[in-house]
Amino acid sequence: MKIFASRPALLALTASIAAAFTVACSSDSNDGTPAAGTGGSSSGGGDGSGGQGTGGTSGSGGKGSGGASTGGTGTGGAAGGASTLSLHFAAKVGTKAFDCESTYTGLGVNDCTLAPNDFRFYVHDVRLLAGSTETPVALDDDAKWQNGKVALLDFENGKGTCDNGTTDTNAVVKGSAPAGSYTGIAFRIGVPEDQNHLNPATEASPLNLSALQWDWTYGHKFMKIDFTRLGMEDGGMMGRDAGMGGMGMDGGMMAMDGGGMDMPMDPNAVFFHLGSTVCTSADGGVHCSNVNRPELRFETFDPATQAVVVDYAAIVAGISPGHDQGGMPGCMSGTDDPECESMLAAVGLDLSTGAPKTGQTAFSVASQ
Amino acid sequence: MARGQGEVAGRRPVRSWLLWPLCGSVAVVLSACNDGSDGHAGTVLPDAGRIARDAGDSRDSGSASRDSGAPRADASSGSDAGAFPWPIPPSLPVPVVPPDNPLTVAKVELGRHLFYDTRLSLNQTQACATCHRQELAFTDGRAQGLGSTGQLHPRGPMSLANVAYAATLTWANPVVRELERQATVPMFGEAPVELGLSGHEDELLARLRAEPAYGPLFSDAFPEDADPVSILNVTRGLASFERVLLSGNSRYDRFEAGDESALTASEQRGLVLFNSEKTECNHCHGGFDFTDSVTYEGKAFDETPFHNNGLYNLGGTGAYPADNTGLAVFTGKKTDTGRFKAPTLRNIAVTAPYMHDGSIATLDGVLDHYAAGGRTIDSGPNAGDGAKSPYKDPLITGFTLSAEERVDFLAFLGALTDEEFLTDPRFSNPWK
Repeated sequence: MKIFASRPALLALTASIAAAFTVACSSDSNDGTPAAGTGGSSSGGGDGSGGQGTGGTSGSGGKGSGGASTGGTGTGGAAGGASTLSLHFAAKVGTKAFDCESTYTGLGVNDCTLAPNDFRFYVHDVRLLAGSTETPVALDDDAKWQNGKVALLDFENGKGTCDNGTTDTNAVVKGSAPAGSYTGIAFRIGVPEDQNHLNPATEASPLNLSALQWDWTYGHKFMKIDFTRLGMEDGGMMGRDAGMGGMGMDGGMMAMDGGGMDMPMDPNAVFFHLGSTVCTSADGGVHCSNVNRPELRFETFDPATQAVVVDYAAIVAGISPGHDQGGMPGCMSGTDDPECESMLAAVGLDLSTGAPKTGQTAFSVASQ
Repeated sequence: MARGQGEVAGRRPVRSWLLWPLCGSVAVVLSACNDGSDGHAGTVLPDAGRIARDAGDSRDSGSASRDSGAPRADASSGSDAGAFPWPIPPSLPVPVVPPDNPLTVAKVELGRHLFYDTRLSLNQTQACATCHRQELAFTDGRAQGLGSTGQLHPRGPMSLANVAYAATLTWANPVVRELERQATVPMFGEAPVELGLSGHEDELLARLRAEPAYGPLFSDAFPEDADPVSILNVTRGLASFERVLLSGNSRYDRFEAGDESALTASEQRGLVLFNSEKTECNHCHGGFDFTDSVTYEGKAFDETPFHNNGLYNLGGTGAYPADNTGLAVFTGKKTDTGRFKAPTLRNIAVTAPYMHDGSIATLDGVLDHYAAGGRTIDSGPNAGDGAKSPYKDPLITGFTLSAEERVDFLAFLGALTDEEFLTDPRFSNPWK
């Protein structure tokens, strides 16, 4: 596969390694489609989460035929020129594609049925891998989805139950990198620190969406993947009552209010708001010690034919969605929230420190 | 002069309440910096011997450093014409105004209209003023706030009286410190939903553009902006209005200014009790605003105190109800459990119920709480003896008040009510 050049006459440095893809100028399509299931290990390297292979620079298991050897041939050009890259993402819920007008069954530890409300996340620090070498990708600035440093992936279209969403969607991160031969990709989820605590009201898109502001921490939601549990399919208790029994919405608090008719936050809601926490204000700025920016590495990845898949079913696999055990409904990255440990682990984070952790399950590679 | 109310207030000379004309000539003008080069509300003019003495040097140097390179979003350059005639009561210092949002009459008036406008909630049922009612010192009388979609907030709306001095905003948030940024929390917050505007900023702006009154309000407030109807300018207007909600003309203030007749004998005895080593109230509720969480021009140190007052001690572990763990939510430290900001006691008699969750109905109950050095809850999910919390502030040790002392103490708290503030038409609903 190759990455189409932004300018003509740029040539890949090399395309000699079968497992590699090339950043090149040719529009030739690479037919070397690796089978789904190639390397998806989270940071820390070599964890091989989910039994996936870890890839490598050559001959990684499951590779398809070909490779990138044809890339760039015939177009000429100089090494080191910048070529364009399109990094595709996809949102799924188990085996089904994410869709605002669908509902999803069999989620969580007790097979709950959920309706979607949102599915957006930020990506930054994209790098191309070639062996142990990492080459940064310069993200485009389109004044909408990307600002040159961070890109917004958006799978909700404002329809169905995503009624607070936006019509437009985006599944591709676009950028450029030096022409060359690469075997994999790495990137981080979230907004980089130097842009996270600026005022959204004065920031350019995509950092100025109110839905992705995280005002209470002076930052942004890195991932906003929200669902709501439907029905009484699993236990006969109304969701609200079940939620009230947990420690999240304390019974005593309700009693004190005296009114008794006011609703707390909808306990059927299953928020997943990932962002930096444990924040203090010092030196005129806000600093958060639990940064919560997942680092994803796919040692073998072909941008032309493959996509990074984010699976919501994996994120809620360890909880009982809509039967909240405490804290915010679902997880808003709270270090004491019972739902957060497994949900953050699913995206490759340690809840207590906010640092990357091996064993992520939410991200994988599949054919486009 | 009673002791213990704080050095700053203690140095104040007697000065009359300054009139605040909405337009035209001014009593005290927060003007440009000393060189007159811009419209920053960083310096105070005439009558300001007090202010210059208190805040002069450090403020001037601070302004100078902020000036360099700071973008101007406002058009008051080179003139004081639009600067706000800020009626700072004599007992209060000069609030800090962000250099990128200098205070002007036009912005205050815009903010006042926005504050009272139900178009600022998605379903158009609530305005800021719904939960911040002037007659209740901009609280709502509820234990916990109620959002526009019926969601209950874990905490109660705080008084906006003197919010311009707040070192930190809301009950236990160490990072949101500017009113401009705080305004977006109720507008766009999702947990809980308050005004419910998350994802609907374009709809809000369309509504505002459709209201004829807002055309001149926005353009007067932001005359250099080609398209002044923006979320940024909404927050700047709201913050400007909030910043002028100054309350410093209670009978207590008049007493401190030299009018011995302003407090009854009982209230004066209550004041002495309040400041006494017996009750220790003034450690957290001391100073000109009756809270230790204040900032103002000329203050050299950045203090953001939070305290655990022994309200809960679930299971004897120091735990708080899970939706209200206080500062620990931000710091992740167990020892920060239950630490909240000490709210101002100004107008405290009209802001019942009390505590962050409204869990004490009356001031008499609050006295019971502090007299016991913490609250004991005998049964239920919140059971525990708050007085024995491992995280409790060590100054909350309990005390004993006689029946007469209790009457005096409560009488004094009542003397902190600023009737003029509660009824001032300049803070009222401009749409009526």
